[in-house]
Amino acid sequence: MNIWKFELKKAFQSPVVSILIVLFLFLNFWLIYNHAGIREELKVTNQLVERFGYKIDAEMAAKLQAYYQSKLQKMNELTRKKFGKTYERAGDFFSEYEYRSEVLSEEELHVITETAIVEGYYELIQEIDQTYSHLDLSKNAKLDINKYGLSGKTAEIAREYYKNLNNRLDELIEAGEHKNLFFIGYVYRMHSFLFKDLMRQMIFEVMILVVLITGHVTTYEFQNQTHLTAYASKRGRKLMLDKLVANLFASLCICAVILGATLLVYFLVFDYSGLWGIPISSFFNSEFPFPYISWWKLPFGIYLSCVLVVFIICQLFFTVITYSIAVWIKNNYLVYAAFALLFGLCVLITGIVPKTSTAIFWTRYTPFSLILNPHLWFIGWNVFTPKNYEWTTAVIWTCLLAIVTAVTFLKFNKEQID
Amino acid sequence: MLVVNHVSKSYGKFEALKDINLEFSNGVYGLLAPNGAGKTTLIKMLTTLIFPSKGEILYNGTNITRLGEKYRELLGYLPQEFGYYKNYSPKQFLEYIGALKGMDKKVLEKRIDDLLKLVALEDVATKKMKKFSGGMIQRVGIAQAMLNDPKILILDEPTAGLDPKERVRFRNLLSELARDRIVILSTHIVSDVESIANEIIMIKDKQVLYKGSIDEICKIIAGMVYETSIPYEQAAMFKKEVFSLSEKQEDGLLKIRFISKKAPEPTWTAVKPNLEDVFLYVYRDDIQESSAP
Amino acid sequence: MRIILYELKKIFQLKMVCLLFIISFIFYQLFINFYFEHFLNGRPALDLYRINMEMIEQYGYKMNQEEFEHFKKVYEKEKAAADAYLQARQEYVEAGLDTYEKFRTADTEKQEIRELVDQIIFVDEVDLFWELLARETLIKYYENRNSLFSIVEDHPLTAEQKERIKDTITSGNIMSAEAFENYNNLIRYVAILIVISIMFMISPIFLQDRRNHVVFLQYSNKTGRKIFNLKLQTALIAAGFITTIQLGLFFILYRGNKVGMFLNANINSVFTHEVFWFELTFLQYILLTIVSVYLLAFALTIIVAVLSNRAPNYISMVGFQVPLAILLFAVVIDYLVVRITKIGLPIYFLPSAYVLLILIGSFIYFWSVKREKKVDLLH
Repeated sequence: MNIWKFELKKAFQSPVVSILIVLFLFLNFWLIYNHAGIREELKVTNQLVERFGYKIDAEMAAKLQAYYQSKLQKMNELTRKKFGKTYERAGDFFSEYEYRSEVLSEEELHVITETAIVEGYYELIQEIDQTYSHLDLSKNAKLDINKYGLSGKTAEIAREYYKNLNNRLDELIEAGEHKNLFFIGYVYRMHSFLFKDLMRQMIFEVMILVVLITGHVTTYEFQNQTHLTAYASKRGRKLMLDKLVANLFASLCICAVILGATLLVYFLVFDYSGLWGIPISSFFNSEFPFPYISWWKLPFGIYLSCVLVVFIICQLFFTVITYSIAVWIKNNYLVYAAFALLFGLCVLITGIVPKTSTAIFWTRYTPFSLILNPHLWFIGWNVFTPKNYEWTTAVIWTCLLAIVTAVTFLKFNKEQID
Repeated sequence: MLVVNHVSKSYGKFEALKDINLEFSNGVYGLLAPNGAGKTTLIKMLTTLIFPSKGEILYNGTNITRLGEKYRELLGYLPQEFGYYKNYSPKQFLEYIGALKGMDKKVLEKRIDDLLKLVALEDVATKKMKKFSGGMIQRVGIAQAMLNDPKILILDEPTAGLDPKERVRFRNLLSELARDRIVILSTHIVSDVESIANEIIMIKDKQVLYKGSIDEICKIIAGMVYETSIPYEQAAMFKKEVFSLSEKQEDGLLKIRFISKKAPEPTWTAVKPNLEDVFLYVYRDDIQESSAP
Repeated sequence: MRIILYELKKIFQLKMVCLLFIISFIFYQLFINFYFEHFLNGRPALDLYRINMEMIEQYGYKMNQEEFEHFKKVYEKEKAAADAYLQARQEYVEAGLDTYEKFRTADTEKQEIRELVDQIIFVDEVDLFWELLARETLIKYYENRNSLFSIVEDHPLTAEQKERIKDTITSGNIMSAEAFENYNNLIRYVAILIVISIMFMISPIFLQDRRNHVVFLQYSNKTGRKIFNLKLQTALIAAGFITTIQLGLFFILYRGNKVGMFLNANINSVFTHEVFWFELTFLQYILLTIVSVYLLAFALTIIVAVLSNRAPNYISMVGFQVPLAILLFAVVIDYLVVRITKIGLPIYFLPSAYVLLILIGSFIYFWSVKREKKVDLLH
């Protein structure tokens, strides 16, 4: 117990760790700040959900319509008074917006903006059925095959993949999973912002810290010439085991600090109240003509939790990978280089295997490939995001790293330390 | 001639050395002090690695900092923590040090061969030092210090890691070298300097306590060192009254060597004090503190 | 000099050089190769490039109004050929797409029409049609050349900027936007690779000797503390060497992109939609970016080397370079290497940025040399 504490201290005593944490948090806050301009507009969604619930059905649509019309009426009263003009759509106002803005007070402008947003919801709801009935996944299969140059067996897999996704899509439509309100993805891109921009940035930040710390702690005795005393002590080579535990714990701490602080600020800035139960496959969450289709029904809160779990698992993988390299190399500078090289190679290999070989798929089952697209976790997006991709990668690498760690221990136990 | 003139060294509020005055001319000087007394600080100042806070160090009348390169050219130094490149062979490493010492390439080659022979490393001259034993590394260190045939040779704990045979060889080498140069030997192993040092410098409490030949130093406790044999039961009582230097078992009795300022008792035999006695006596507080069993 | 050679040997250890080689290889595969392999693979990029080339062959590096009329005539001629192509095909005539004009403005919302259009453009990839598209683009660029006045977005134009843009518009310079964009992408990544290489190779320079305790020997020898200066010089030489090798390798590969024809073209052009403060040819621009990369490399080297002298261990050494790397990759390279002297930034931005960089570099250099002369060497 005590030993872990000492090893942990080694992890955090270096001022560079705290400095980097502060810098990274600053970068995250900066990113959130730059995106925060839309926070007021997003609140309209919360209001709508509060008023009508998020489930879209005929009854709710009718209520929304009535609400929208009353809003539009109010807005037209306002514009008639101000400009002697009414609008059929709130959106029309904004095409002339530039010339009108000076006359309007903040509050008045807000009324119009709000109307426009409600209008957006109202109009988009009309489009849902049409959009989903137009989705033809066999076309996506063809597109993927063309885009990635698949053929033969791999093309077959692509077709099979989209067949599966199509089943899921049917199921989803059947259950009305897509018919839920959410922030309008086309406009605000909140999914991309949270899970791609912010999450990916955090993944790399935590990875940098985790690799730095693990390399440092693991090679500490060898770098400080204390290896002879340390590994000849009663605890002896089991100290390496303590180091592993301490490293894993340090990684969890780093995850907690970066994720905790960043997400806290994120959810303080962007109000998700009332939205936690909305499925991620909601039509309104989609940002491109092709919607996000999660492989399971995942409400936003659950989805976020799953993403965080995968996030942390990946970081623990990086810890163990770095640790194993460090036990072998013992010079942490080279450990850092080796980790970077491994990362590069794992990503590179997916690009150079022949397109006709199934290797193009299974070479992607690495944490390194996995972390590149956190916004597509658990989502059927293209042929490289199969169902269970995340869990399979996690299981495979848990086994793989368990073996690697075991071998590493065996090796270290027999190693001559001089 | 190397003169240390009223030199003090402090780090912030902590004072490491206080008003040191020393003079070195050709010969072997033993710098004797327990660990932490400021030995390494003095040596680092003599090798220009750190600078005095007060006072100056002069070589032939000029400040060594001012002399700079001209001073260091005459210097050979073996640090306590001798650093080397694991992936280099002794030969490569000495070539590198030779370059740092600004030696001519041809002279250097010859000199390296000679020195490696002298420290008995010629067989492994081109082997990487990665696999060397501590003693072999130490010999590389000695070789690098002597590479430029220095006028001032400063050795910090040079015999650490050497076996008794190597130690003897090394001592002989030093006394020969010392004929026409200054050799400063820092150690806390008394026997290292006893046989070869012309002069001993003892540092205590950040100051030079004694400086003189071994005989002079031993005079400090002349007439106070005795030996006697007593039964074990009396040992504890006895040791309260005298300062014990060494004890050993002999014929069922405890043979004890000690210092006493009182008038000798008949069973005591007066003996000639040696350097070790002085060392133990002078640093008795330090030693009792640091090496309590 | 001898010591510098020894120090160079220490920097370019076999192990490190091999690692650097692998790092570079992976970096090329991941980021740079794309711009070699896919340069002009797409359409209409290839067609635009080809027509730019043809323009230079026919009109020289500048095009005047008269030549532009000729260019349009060629377009009309090709259009006629396209008309003939369409008229020769029953299905197109039936669908009412019997002229190129109609083909272009066809309502692709309709399934049958879209399929017919896609057939020519994407399935058969008929060169003629792609070429027409490209020619249209270029003609539009030329005709709408006054839109260059809006390339600076964030603030109103100064008189000087207006002057420069006017010059560019009236110049009729011909340059390929594809070639220019491609080079900018490439040099950006090459600069990043050079930064990584220098960081990787120079980082251990002092730290290694301090960790080995060799520094005690170094500073107490004849060379003494001069070695600090010598090692800084070594670092600069090594960085120069690394930069030269990387750039050399890159330009050998870049020759495969076949942009020779554009080297003497002026990059201020309505066809690239770019305006710079100076009348630079593409070659001059390339040379300017090379000089920038060198200056940046040297400044970086000094920072890394001095950091190496101060950092207590490798975690700090690498950790403190993370913000430096972020700063370089996200900001500095985009402002000091890519599209330098562009009109959006004040004319004195680049020179003053580099003067500042050189000043900072020299200051750190001399300050650290001076500091090192007096520093107490404790551990």
